[in-house]
Amino acid sequence: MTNSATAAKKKFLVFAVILLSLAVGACSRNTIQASKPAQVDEQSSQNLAPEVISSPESKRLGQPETDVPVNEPSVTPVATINLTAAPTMEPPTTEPTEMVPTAVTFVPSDRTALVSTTPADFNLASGQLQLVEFMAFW
Amino acid sequence: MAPIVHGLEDIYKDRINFVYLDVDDPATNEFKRYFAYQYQPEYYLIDGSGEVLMAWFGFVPPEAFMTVFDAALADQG
Repeated sequence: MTNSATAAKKKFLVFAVILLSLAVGACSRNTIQASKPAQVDEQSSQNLAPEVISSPESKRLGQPETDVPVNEPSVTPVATINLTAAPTMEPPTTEPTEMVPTAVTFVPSDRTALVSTTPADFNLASGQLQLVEFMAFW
Repeated sequence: MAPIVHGLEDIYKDRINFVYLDVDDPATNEFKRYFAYQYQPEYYLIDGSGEVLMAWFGFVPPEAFMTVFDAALADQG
């Protein structure tokens, strides 16, 4: 073999080695990136700008694209309930009624001289106006 | 009421006969049935034939008695 051929072989080998190392290095970088855990930046995730979603329908109808926030925390509309105070029930007004005693007050001093009428001596048709009182002599 | 009636008796004793029936006396049961007695005190103003002209139950002011007494005496003549 001539020296030029040997030199060419050497160059070829060097070139192949270089290419091979480059290929190996590229593969190793890819594997490292895949195995690296995803670092989540909470702050950045919350501040993501809302993406503009354009519906094909709106495009077809020529309507302006509606900005639909995607990454903002969903705000669920809360039904508002108007609490109205229940009507207070006023107590029934009762007028004070006059107390009229319906029972007879027993007065012993006045009744001591009162004598009951003997039923046998009582005549309904006496020919005279009579006031008959049913009472308790006790 | 007895004091009121008793007081009125002094006023009307010559024109009206005041009768006091003991509700506890069994002998008055016949009159109780006649007048449909319910509870004492009860007052009945009857005419000469025994017909009931007016009835009162419980408390009665003396003016009420006197009004009816005067009217009944006026009708009797």
